[in-house]
Order: sequence, then C-alpha cells, then structure tokens
Amino acid sequence: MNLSFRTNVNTDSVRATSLIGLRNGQLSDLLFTAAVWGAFLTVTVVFLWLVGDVLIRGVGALSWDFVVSPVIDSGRSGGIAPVLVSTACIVAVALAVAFPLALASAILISEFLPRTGTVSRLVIVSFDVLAGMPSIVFGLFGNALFNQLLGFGYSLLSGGLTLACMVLPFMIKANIDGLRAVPRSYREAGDALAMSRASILWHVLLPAAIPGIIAGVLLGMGRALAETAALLFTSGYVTRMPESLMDSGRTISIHVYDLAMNVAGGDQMAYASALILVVLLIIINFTVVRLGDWIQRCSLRA
Amino acid sequence: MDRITEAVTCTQKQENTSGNICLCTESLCLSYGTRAALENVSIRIPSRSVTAIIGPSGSGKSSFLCCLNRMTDLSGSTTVGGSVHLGEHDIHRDLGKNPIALRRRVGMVFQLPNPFPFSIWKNLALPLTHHGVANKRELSGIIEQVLRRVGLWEEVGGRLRDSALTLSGGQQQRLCIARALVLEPEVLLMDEPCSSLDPLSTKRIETLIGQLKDRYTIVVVTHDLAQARRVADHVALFWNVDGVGRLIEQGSAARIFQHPQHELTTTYLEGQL
Amino acid sequence: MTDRLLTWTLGAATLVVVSLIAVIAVFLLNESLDTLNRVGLGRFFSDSGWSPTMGRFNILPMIVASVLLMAGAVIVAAPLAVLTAVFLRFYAPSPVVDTGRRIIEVLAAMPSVVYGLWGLVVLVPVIAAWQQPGASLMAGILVLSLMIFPTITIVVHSGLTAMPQRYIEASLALALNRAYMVRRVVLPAIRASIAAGVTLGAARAIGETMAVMMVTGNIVAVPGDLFDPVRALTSNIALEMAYALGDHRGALYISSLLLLAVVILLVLINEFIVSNKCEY
Repeated sequence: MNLSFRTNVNTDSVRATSLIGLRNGQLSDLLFTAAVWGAFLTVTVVFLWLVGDVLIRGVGALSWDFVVSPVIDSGRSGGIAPVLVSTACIVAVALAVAFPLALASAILISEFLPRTGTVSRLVIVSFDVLAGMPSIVFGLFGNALFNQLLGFGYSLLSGGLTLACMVLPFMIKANIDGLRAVPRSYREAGDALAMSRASILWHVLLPAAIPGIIAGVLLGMGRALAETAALLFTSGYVTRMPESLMDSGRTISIHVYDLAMNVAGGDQMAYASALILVVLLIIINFTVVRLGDWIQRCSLRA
Repeated sequence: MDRITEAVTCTQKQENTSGNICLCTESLCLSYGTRAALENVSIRIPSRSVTAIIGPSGSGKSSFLCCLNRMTDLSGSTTVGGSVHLGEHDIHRDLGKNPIALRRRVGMVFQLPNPFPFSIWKNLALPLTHHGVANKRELSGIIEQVLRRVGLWEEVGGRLRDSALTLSGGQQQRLCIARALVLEPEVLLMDEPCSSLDPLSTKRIETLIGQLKDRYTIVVVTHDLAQARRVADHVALFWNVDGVGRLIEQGSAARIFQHPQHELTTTYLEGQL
Repeated sequence: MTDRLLTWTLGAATLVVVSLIAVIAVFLLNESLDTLNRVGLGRFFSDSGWSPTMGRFNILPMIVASVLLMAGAVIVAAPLAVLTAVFLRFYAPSPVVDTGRRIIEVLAAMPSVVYGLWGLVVLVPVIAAWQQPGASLMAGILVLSLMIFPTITIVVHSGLTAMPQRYIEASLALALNRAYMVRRVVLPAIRASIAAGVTLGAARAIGETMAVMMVTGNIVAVPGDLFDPVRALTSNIALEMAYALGDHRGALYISSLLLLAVVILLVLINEFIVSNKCEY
C-alpha cells in the first residue's frame, strides 16, 4: 500500500486556506444563526398579532348573555345559544358515527393486518387521500348523498354525517397510534394464557389503549369544530334554535364566517364567536398533544 | 515544504528527545450533571504512537476520549475540571470558546461507523470544502490519497458516487477513518473502532492503525485485551472505583503487559474479574 | 367463534371506510357526467369566460389562481418552516423550545375561518394601505402560508428528531460549524421529510376554501400582478353552489373532481417520498 503523499498534491493548502475558510465559516455561521432566529421571531410576532387580535377584539363582546341568548338581527346583537346547540348536535352526530367505524378499522389495521403488507399500505394510502381531500369537496359529496339522494335536506344530520366522513382518517390514525403503543408483551402474555383474540382485545388491549382512543375522539372533535366549508351546503346556516336533527342549523365556524363576510357591522360579534371557538380548540389540542406525549413515554418505557 | 521530509525530520526529532508528549491531562474530572464520571485523570500520551485505553465497561474510557476533543460540550449539563494540553496549548483556555479549531487537530472515529447518508465522495469532500478547499482537482487528489491510505481505493475508487451506506460495515468504518484523515489532524481518537466489525475487518483496521501511527498520534479505546496487545505502544488502564472512572496505571505496552505494578491491572490482565 | 365474528365485523367496518373514497369519487363523477357530456371538457378551458348561467364555462382563470396561491404559499412558508424547525431543534435555548412548540401547535389548531377573519379585518386593510384594493392574490398567499406553515414545520421537525445523533457527532468531530452542519449534512439527510412536509402543505393550500375566499376578492380573472384580486377554484364552489342548477352545478362538481385529482396526486407523491425514505 502506498502510504506516502504524492508530491504533486499540496495538502498543506488544507491548513493554509483554513484561515480564510474559517473566517468565511464564521460569517456564514453568524448569518445562518440570524436567519433561524429571524424566522422564529417572525413567526412569533405574527402569532401574537393573530391571537392578540382575536383576544382583544373578541373579549369586549363576550358575556354570559352572549352565550345564552338567541341570535338577533343576523347576529349583530343577541347571542349564539342556538349556534352552540347546533354545533353540539353536529359534532355529536359526527363522532357517534365516526367513532365505532374508526375504532374498528384501527383495530383491524393494527392488530390483524401485517404492518408492512400491501393491504395495509393500500388502506393507509386511502386514509391519507381522505385526510388530504379539500373540505369543500366533502361538502359537495355530502350535499349529493345526504341532502339529495337520502333526502335529509339541509339538516344537522346531513352536516354531521358529512363531518363524520371527514374526521374518520384522523380518528383512525390516532387510534392506531394508541393501539401500537401498547407493548407487545401484553399480547404475548394473552396468547400464552390461551385467551381468544376477542378477549385479549376487550380485556387487555382496549383498556391499555384508552389514552390513544380519547386522543382520537378529541382530535375528531377539534376537526369537526373547526370545519366550515363542508357544512355550507349540508347543514346550511339557519340561526334558529334546532328542534330536531332534521332541522338546518349553523356551527360556530359558519357563524364567524357569515358575520364577517355577509353581515355589515358583524365584526365585533364575529370576533366574540371566534374567541370562543379558538379557546375550545386550543384546550382540545393541548389535551391531544399531552396525551400523545404521554402515550409516547409509555411506549418508550415498555 | 515537502511533507515527507518534514515527517522524517519530525520522527528524528521525536526519537532524539525519546518520546514527545502530544497530549497530556492534569487532574481531569468530568461529571454529567451531578453524577461524576471521571476523577483526577492525569495521563501522558506520546506522539506518533498508539496508546490503548483499556478497562472494564463503565470505567469512563469513552468519556475520557470525549474530553480530548471536547465532544463533551455536546450535552449542556457536563462540567469538565482540570486541564487538557495539546502540545503547549490548553484546549479549554488557549483554544477558546470555539472547539472547532481543536477538532480540526484532533479527529475522531466512533464505535459504530457513521458515514453520512450521501455518496462516498461527498462524505470525504464535505469537511474539505467547509475548511476552504474548493478546487475540484485538489479535492480529488486528497480524496484519493486518504482512500489509498486506508486501503479503500482499490475497493471503491471506481464508484465514489455510490452512497456510502452501500458499503459493508468494515468498509464504512475505514471510510470514517479516511474522513477523519482528510483534515490532516495531529491526533486520531478511536472509540472501540472494531467492536461492531467481523474478525476480518477488525484485522484490516488493526493493520491500518499500525500504519497510521507513523503520521498520527492515535488513542484507541478498546475492551479487547488481545487487540491492545496487538496494536498498542502504550497502555492506560481505567477502572470504575465507587462509581467513578479513574486512571489506575499507565506505561509502555511491554511493561504493563509483562510487569504490571497495580494489583487491579494484574487482576484485569489475568481476566479474573 | 367469537374471533371469526370479530374479524368479520372489523373487516366490514374497514371496508366501509376504505370504500368511502371510491364512493365519494363516484358521487362527484355522477353529478358531473351529464354536464361533461353536454358541454365537453374542452370548453372548460376554451370558453370566453366564466358565466355559467349564460353557458360560458371557462374555469382556467380559477385554476391559475389556485395554482398561484398554492405555489406562493409554499414559497413563503417552506423556508420559514424549515428554518423554524432547525431553530427549535438546534438553536433554541430550552425554555424557548417549549414555547415554540406551543406556538406551532396553536397555529396548527387554529380553524381556517379564524385565519380568514384575521386576514379580512387586519391583513387586507394593511395591504390596501400599500396597494389597492387589498383583497388580493397577495393577501391569499400570506394567509395560506401562515396556515400551512405549522403543517410543514411539524413534519420537518419530526424528521429532524428522527435523524440519528451519530450524524451530528460525526459533523462535530469533523470540526464543521453548526451552520455548515445544518446546511450540508442535516438538511440533505432529511430532504425526504422536507419534501413530505411541502407536499402535505401544498395539498392543504390548494384545498383551502374559507380563508382564501375571505381575503382574495373573488374576481374571476387571471391576475396581472400580486395585488390583483383572484378567485380560487374552491372559493368558486363555495360562492356559487347555493344557487347553482343544471350545468352550472355540474361545472362546480367538475371543478371539485379536478381538486380531488390534484390532492390524490400530491398524496401519492408524498407516499412515494415517505416510503422511499432511506432508513438511515
């Protein structure tokens, strides 16, 4: 083996040029540090601007009366009581339909299908497409299927069913994560005790996966609360107090949109409603994230 | 100046003064948070030779190695006491806040081969371009040299554009050695460089260490006594005393292996743990 | 016995979920087909304008607007998101890391209608003071980029966290400084995560309706510059669906099919990137 340096290559240049190189390096290091700090500060400023704006403008019109009064004069005065009721109904329908489907699919995928098989990959891709589909497209689909074909018309039921389709992939993913975080040893212990898969599932896996399942429900709830476009043509935007699921009604998100875009002088009330919406979503989101961290810690410990 | 003659004069100088000291530490202590990992290590590492750090696991060998190029700075909670001298410079005081200048002079090879997930060429070119070599011809010259020096040129010279991750474990480790060499460091730290390799690759790396010691000061951590016997000129034994790593004995390999002075050394060498 | 029953139940439920995407596609197609036959695909790109009640169906300006909005949002948001993720992983002091994570989480949870409200009431007047009319392509791009920023940041950040520590050790041992390490080692090593984040963000941007509708002015025209008002494909559906009949309704369903196709394409690209990601 030739260990000597070939004389035609001057390796001293590595050391010689390093003086300049190092100085350039320090300059670019400084610039890059400035860039990452700049990016973060920009984001922080815009964030404070956005949240501060909603908070400051929203808090002025907020009161207990606002929460319990009916909508008066297209929302310019009065409150949002019927809107809150409609929201609750729609979200409840969506979760009631989506939850069992999501849990069942998650169990099948995480417990019964091979993790890297073609089938589970196809299933996962189809969920990803579903999760990425624009909400307005869900709205058109819901309008065609629930409002027209099934004849539910503009109703809380149509809106809730449309949202159920929308939140499914997110709930499934959270449930799968929750189930996969359950240590393998639990399943092996169950198998070793000659338990049937159904009873392993019921007595061992599901109780252990409860945090993930709760996270899934909350995530679905958050998605449903935040949604507007899918509801415009399914639940409609009537402001009356709904009397049954077949009545039309608007959610808070639609209320914010309508006040801001279609009601002159509705900004103040739009902000108040937006504030309620944002606070709800932040609470839900933080719970989901903390649950997620907790699940991860558990699975790491196992 | 011609590198070969320079190297020769250096070697002669070294022989004249019978063993220059390249690295030495004075009462070096290291703790992670409140947990002490090393205490009172004073070691002298002669230049252009192989010093093996041996000892059972948990005796602070790897931690010690990390003190030498300040990889300890990586986690925020470490505190280092005492001093480390590289030549006549104190690596904490004289080489300042920035460990980069130090790490240019003290290269490191890790337990697991850690080539970047890029091509072989890019793995080797990256540190060079960072330190100011922009000329393509110069780059390829240096890259060929270091690859020849670690014996990889014949194996991969024709496919430098392939991903480094396609190489075998032993080849990856030699690539990592080559990568550490492109910057022409004075010292090469090796943290159990063969522990993840098969016997054949291990043998290649050991031969390589023997060849490289003419140009570099090599400090190699190993838990393999036979390996220490094969490659080392000097040996230092670390031991875990009450949960803290300490230096028990140091000296030339011949003396340590034949006439160990400390009782723990005798026990360890006889394999009666 | 119970096990068989269980498997069948689970299988049936999953089948419902998996077939949902096909059902949706069939419904959208079914609503579009009549119009497609009567009007023909070509006229959606060649008619003299968009006035569907008068039988003119050119949706090209809205496609252009949607694409410009998406591209603009990605161009603004992607660098910001990558830099922020790098900041949180390598630069931020530890108390700032937690704050930063919370900020990203809240931005991700914010409903699009609130982004729209803020854009409409705060951002549009700011832009109008600079360049009339305010409600414009520019406003849409800024609001959209703010919306997709957390999506991209989260994906890139999880890529950074998943990257093995040994690459960082290797970089430091080679005396690379932090900026060089990030630019030349870290970012190339996680390029798949960056691409995945960008495609996800792009899908979200092109599908967004409310925020875009509230700030872009909604005039059907190919914009001459950044400050012209535009109407996105999604906004068009939301604005006209309420009173659309016959071929008009069909045309809206056709544009929704187009959106669906784009999103499927983006998701498949994303899938391809993620599944080909090198496993370090």
